[in-house]
Amino acid sequence: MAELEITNLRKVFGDEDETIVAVDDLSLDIEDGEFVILVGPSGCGKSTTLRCIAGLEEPTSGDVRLAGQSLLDKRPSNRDIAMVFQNYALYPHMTAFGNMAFSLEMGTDLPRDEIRRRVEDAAELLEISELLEQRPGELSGGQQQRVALGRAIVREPEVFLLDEPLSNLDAKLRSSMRAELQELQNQLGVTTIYVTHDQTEAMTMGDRIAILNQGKLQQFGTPLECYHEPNNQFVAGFIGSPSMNFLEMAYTDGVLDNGHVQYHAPQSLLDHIPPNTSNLVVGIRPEHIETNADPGDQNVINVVIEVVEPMGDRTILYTSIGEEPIIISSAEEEIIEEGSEIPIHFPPDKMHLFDRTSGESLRAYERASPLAEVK
Amino acid sequence: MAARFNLESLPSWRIVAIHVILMTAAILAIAPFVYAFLTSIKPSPEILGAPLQPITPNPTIEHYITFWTEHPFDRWVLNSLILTTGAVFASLLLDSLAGFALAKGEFRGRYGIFLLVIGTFIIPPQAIMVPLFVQMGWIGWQNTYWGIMILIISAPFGVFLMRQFYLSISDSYLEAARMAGANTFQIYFKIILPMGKSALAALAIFKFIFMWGAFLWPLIIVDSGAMFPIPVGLGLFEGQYGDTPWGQVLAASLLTAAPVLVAYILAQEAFMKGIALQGGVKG
Amino acid sequence: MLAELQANIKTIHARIDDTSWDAFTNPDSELAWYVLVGPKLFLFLTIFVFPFFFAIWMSIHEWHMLAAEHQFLGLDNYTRMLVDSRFIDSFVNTVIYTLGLTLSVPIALFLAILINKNIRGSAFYSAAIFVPVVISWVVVSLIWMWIYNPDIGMLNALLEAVGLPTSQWTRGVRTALPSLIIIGIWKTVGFNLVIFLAGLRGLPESYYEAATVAGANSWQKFRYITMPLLKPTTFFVVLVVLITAFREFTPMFVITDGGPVTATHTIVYYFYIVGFERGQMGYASAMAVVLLIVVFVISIIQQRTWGQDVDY
Ligand SMILES: Nc1ncnc2c1ncn2[C@@H]1O[C@H](COP(=O)(O)OP(=O)(O)O)[C@@H](O)[C@H]1O
Ligand SMILES: [Mg+2]
Repeated sequence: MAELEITNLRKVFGDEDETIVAVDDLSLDIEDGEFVILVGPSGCGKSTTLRCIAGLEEPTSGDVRLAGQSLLDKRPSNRDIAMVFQNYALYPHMTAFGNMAFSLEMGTDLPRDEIRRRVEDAAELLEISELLEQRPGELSGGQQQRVALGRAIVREPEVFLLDEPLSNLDAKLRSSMRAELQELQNQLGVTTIYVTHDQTEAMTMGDRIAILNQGKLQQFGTPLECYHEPNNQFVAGFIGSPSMNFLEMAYTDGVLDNGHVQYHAPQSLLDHIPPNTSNLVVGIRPEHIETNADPGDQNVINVVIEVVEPMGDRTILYTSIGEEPIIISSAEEEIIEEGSEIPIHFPPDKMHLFDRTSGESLRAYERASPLAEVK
Repeated sequence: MAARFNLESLPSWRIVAIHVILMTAAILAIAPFVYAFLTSIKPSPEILGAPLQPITPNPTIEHYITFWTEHPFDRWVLNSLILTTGAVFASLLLDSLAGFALAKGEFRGRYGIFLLVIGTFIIPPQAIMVPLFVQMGWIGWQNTYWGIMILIISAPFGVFLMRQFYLSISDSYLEAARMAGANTFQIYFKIILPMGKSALAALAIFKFIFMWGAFLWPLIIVDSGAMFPIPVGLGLFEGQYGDTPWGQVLAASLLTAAPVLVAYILAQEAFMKGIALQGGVKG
Repeated sequence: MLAELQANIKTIHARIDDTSWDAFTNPDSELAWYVLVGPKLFLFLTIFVFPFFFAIWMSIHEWHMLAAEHQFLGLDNYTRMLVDSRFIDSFVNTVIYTLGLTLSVPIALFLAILINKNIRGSAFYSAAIFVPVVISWVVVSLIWMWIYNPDIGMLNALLEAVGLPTSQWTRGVRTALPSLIIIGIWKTVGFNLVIFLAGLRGLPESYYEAATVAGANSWQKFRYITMPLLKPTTFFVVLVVLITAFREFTPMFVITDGGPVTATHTIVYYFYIVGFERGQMGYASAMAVVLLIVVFVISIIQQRTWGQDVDY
């Protein structure tokens, strides 16, 4: 079928004097019908990856295969791939119908009535049948978005590529389009790569997410894997909102110490600390910090709450340990005053440990724990 | 964002002063044409005797008729129409093709060719008219429409203008077309040409004005009255007489100016846009 | 190493497939782009580049319009200019005319700033001031010729009516060139104005708001915000004025015929007389080369002194 394999993809821009490595040795195996999210900060090479798959950019090295066949020597229009651009790229001088029919007229020799049938079917699916005779200038952002999707759908491709398709829409429309896109992809069952820098989209929409940073793949897994078992500090900090808290700590004899707090690590944590480790980074998500600990217990830290932001369902608390700012996202209903001191606790099973120099998760190292299964 | 100034902060006497200054400038700009028109419909004795009297009690179109019947003005008009039509269409085609390639193409020598465009900008056309005249002789284009038009058609201005405009069209339009299977020529005809209508309109107006008003080169390359475009006919006509028939001169001038004025009034937007593009002024 | 080699082989394979596509349907084909620029490039080369070198070639030869043989002269045509008083007059007049026309720049800037205050009727004012730009030089010349006519022209009639002394205008040796300069300014202001307006409208409003908050008066805003930000625009306007003024021909030919005597001879006017009325094309070409050099130098100087931070 149509599984998409990207192997050792590399794209370098520029000349001898100055080179930019936009994509660095990226490998992804995407299954047929899978919805994959490509996420990462701006400039990390997401668009370049898509453009290499689409054939708009020639990779410096590596291969892209669809159903076992290399795409590299095929022209963009022969790759059985459709792309939705961030700015939609709808031709202003053509009607919605004209825009959707354009690729069929250019790239295929389908008869007129077949083209019409396909465009009308797609329009019905997207609920834009009444808009077909209008030009992009007369359509709202959301409607333009649908026409752009329709333009991809009518080609009945094996793969959809979407480059930040929702970023031009307002927040409300974005969340409704998110659900709709997911459903559409489900219905059509077309392998899809969806680029975004928005981590809500990343967490909610895809079967798997591929997280990129500076051209390199950081992790490729389901949203929950990436959330619970981040491969490294970058993924840990990128996924989840507010971001994970990090504390640099020294480690001696089962005790983690950053000069302000001491943390006696229980066995479950110790299992992940390789011998001869003296420095590491401890990560804890704001929503995992417990605020109702018993002040007398071991490992409880007393902190002064500096700012309180009630969000309704939860409350965001800002505090610090030593110099390090700590953000807490508390689901407790009890009201906490700014300036008050509260005891907080890091549950050991929610703590993440990272190598101080490489940033790699120490969960890859396992002495005993059968839980820590990492891809 | 446009830098507009707050009206409220201006005292009213300053607004009045601004109006007075601008009105004076506007009147100075237009008055010669208005006055020329009012004079062109005066009988000859009044033109000579009462230059200041604005409105004649005896308006007449005798000067227009005399001029038209005593000179091959219709022939000149025909020549100018052929020349402007030819020059405008040839320029639109060549300039949009080349502008497109220089803005969006990827090929060796693109930068070099663009430098050449800039370079030819600096060459004053007058500086190459002597050799060009000789060259036109070699290929038998002296005293032909092609010979007259060629300089306007070849000017780098349009390439520069169109390139500037096409640079502002996002690459994703072309990429979408490429993914749809369109080749470079289909992209040009189906995407680039229709999307560039406003710039093409501006270019058409500029080329029309350049060709309609061109004087020196046609004067050089044309040697028979039958081939005169209007400006050459007019410019030489005035010199034929010791005693200039001013009524006719003004009548002919206004007839010549009329199409340009009409085009200008109808397409002011395109004009201003074209000039701003030409300036490469950001904003 | 091996991976790199394999990658190279792969791209080479891709290239080979690439070229096997029909050059006109392959969107990546360079050939298609060459076909697009080709015609215009051909015209550039034959209508500008070749004559450019041909002009230099002619300028070092005795080249009469009707002669079949062209004797080599070296730099004689150039040294001849130095002793040709008509050429020297033409050169001096051209410089004066050109400098005179730069007056249109401050006038246009002043008017642009007023129009940009966006009072009612701004659009009408700018449209009206632009009218002389679009009307051809021949028409403008003929109309002004009538206005300047010392006997029946409206200018003298007007002066007489208000009791001021009249003038010979284009027919006086001293007044002819200034008269033409006035026409030139009148015809150029509108063009400069529109460019300045585009420049002014591109200035970020926030700068002015910040200055207003800081208590700057309008002169300070002009001096410290508008002027520096408008530098690239001004650079462009001055350059265009200098270059076009330096090669003016039509008003000198139509209105004054270069006269009285040589009072309104300009380089291009004299060039036309020498090259096409006398048929001395070698000598005319030498003048053309001088014109070219001057225009080139103006562009360079402009670039150096004003344009350091102007990017194209
Ligand atoms: N055509 C190009 N030429 C040079 N550098 C480029 C080009 N396209 C992208 N880049 C660079 O490659 C990097 C990745 O860009 P891109 O893939 O667009 O990032 P993203 O889509 O993740 O924001 C960036 O540093 C960008 O500047
Ligand atoms: Mg991107």
